[in-house]
Amino acid sequence: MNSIKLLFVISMLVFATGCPKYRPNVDFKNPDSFVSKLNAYITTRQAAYVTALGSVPDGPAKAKVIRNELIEDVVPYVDGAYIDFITDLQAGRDRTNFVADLVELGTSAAVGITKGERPLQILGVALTAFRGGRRSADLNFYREQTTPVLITKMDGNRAKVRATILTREKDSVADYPIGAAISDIVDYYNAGTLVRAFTELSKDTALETRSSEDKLLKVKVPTTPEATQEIRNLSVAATKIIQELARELRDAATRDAATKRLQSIVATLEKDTDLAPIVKNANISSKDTDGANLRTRLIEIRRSLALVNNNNLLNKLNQAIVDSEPAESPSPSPSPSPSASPTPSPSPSPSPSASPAATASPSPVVLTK
Amino acid sequence: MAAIPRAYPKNISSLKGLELTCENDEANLFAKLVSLDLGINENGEEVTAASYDDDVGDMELGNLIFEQFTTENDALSRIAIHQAQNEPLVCKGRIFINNQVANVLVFRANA
Repeated sequence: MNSIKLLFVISMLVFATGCPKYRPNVDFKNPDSFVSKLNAYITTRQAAYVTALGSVPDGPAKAKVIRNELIEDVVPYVDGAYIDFITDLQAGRDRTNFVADLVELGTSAAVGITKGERPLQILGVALTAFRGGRRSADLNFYREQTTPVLITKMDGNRAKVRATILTREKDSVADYPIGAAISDIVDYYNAGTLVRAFTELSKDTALETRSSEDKLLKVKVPTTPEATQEIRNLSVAATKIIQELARELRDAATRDAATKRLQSIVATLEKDTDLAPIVKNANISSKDTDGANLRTRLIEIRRSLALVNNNNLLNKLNQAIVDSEPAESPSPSPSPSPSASPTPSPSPSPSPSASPAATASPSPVVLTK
Repeated sequence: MAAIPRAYPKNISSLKGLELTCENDEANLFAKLVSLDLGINENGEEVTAASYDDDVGDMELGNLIFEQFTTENDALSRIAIHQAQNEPLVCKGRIFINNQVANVLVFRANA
């Protein structure tokens, strides 16, 4: 019984707070209403307009004055109805929300102080239903828009129509006849309705979506597939060697060794049937003695292969670079051989152990992350 | 200095996957990552658009840290934390991960 009472009270609240009006209050059917009187005024002015239009001289000019007077006489009443409408809308929705908040808070408080499982269950269900009802009302009556957003939108819609009317008032009666003027007044009224606000808001959302789509950068390169950890490690290891070679080429003491290493890399590439033509196209060979040029061309070849996502050849090239690295001695020796050390050696001729062929390692990856 | 554009698929598996791909590109292009943003390719497919700059000098390439962020405050805190660790901000942008848009911060790892 208690639950029935509770549900009855909640239902009363929902219905008592009421559904929204969607437009300014005008009653076109009531013959004594203000709108009917306004219609009568428009009819009278329209008759005067037609009469003026047929008169000579200056018929069109007189008709234009009558037309503009008609517009400016009627617009303030549409404005008045709109002001009343938005005041009611704001006040009504505030009141509804206040009462609904009060019910929610009261019920939540009641849950905290009520004893017994059954009453608690009833209050819980009722509260959930009430909240659902509020959400549904917001969604269906107001499309989940706050009142200020709706009013701002209606203001904006009205301003647009008003601007059009003001512009067209300068037109001659031939370009802007009284029928079009009346149509614009009706449009001005409709611009201040919730239905038009919802429609315009939907259009805005669509435009914003379109605009954000337009902001996407236009990319004219092929899409690069995702790299694996192993591939990334190989590439980074090869790059690290190329950067080390740059430092070594700048140092007179290590320049020759660095050049020889670059020559050995190019020699490896020349042996590969797929990479050999690319090396030839780059105008380099393993016999070139300009280490800096060899290094620059290798960077360019790598970049060209990367740009077209030719990962197969890129990996072969990177592997050749990584394999060219001198092998590190497995255990520190008390008297390290000069050939195994990157430090300047009195005799620049590398020992066999430092030659690229001897240091070629099957291990594909040097650096890990 | 030349900008090198790159595009990565919308369905890239994870943030780590994109990180590895960008590191791989930094290494192979011999260029540093400078920006990430949402893009669209010539087939009308959405992609993550990246831009690289080949003016690198002796900079160490291929060691990046990718982090997703939620709000502007979150981004500012992350940037401050990484700066304290001597990990400069590379770029702040938007990317696709698993077909979803995400906000990302990229830092250069302290070698």
